[in-house]
Amino acid sequence: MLKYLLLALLAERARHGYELKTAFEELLGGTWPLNIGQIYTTLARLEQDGLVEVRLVPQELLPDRKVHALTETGTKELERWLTEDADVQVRLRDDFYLKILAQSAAGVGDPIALIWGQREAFFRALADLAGQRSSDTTRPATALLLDAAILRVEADLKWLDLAEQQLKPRP
Amino acid sequence: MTDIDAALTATALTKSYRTEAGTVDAVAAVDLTVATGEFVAVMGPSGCGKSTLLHLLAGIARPTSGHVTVAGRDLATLTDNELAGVRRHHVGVVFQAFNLVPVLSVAENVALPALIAGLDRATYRDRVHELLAAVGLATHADKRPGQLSGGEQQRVAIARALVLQPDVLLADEPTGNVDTGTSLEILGLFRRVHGAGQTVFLVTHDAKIAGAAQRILHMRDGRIDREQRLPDRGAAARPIVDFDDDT
Repeated sequence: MLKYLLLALLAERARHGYELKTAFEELLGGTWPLNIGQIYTTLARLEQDGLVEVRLVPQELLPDRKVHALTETGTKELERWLTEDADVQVRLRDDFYLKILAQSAAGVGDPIALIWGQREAFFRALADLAGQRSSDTTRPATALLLDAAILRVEADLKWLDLAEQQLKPRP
Repeated sequence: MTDIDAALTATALTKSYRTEAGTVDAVAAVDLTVATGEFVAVMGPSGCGKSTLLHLLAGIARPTSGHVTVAGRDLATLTDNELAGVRRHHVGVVFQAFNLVPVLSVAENVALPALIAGLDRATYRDRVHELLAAVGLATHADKRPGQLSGGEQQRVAIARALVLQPDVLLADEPTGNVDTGTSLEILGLFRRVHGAGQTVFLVTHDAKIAGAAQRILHMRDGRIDREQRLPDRGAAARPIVDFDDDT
């Protein structure tokens, strides 16, 4: 997935490694930090596969600047990925689903306390996401990604309400 | 008797209703303090008593027992007329259904509380325009509420609630009637209003709105079951979304 997002950013314009890292992190709204090593490893592989090429940009007084640009094969590969149906997975292996499942099977500890711990963590996450989402500098594509994350957190909070209803001790 | 810095307090606040099944406490011995300048949200399932709590705090309903103070005034000691005065000057209330007057213009709706309070037009005219600009509706001043979207109408209602510079802004499900995008807009507005020093107390089932508060009170069966303090905004953004980093 990282690969295609890098191709998309190179389709926007040729960039050098560090620029690509910054552009990537901005697009993802800071939700997916990368180290520069990951960028260079991926770029090397993309170059090897002929999807990306290195161009030298002459600079005054300084050594030539190395930028990465999309090749024709790279453009085709990006288009192929974009038109392909996305792989839809309903993810149910999150730590907190499994903890609540395990708790209910084992009967160890307090399920309600577990639910509250999760709920508080989700509220903190939601506060961060909504704060970023309402910032004026967020670009539209990033805002959409944050909306997706907000909707998911809201769904998880609703699920915790259901779990609380079912697991709370009967009076 | 009361905390001098508290904008709003409740002490052993109870509201009971008689039903065929006996007496039900919609709000049961709630104690709370909202400091001046604080932003507090109340969440809880339908029927947990959160709206009733807000009505008691706003002076819209009288408690069965217990006390509410707004800016140091004990509402229980007030006559109906005095209570109306506190409601007018010290609390601003925003409702889920906006409650705008359809035949008045946007600016007239915002000015309405000042008009009812008998203030001179010259004293509030600038304030109305300032507020309309603050909620992003300066160019809509002469329109009727019916010409605005739901989110815009709620922004008018928020401006109206602020016109008399209340000690506390109270809101009952302020995003209950709007879509997700609009609720983020309203959220941004509450955050700005709070940022300008306004005390805000709202009741909501919209987790996004509650997430903007400094403190969330979780209600269950008429009681405050849990209290959660949220970290200050502006804290370093942590990666909060997990991607499968398989490249």
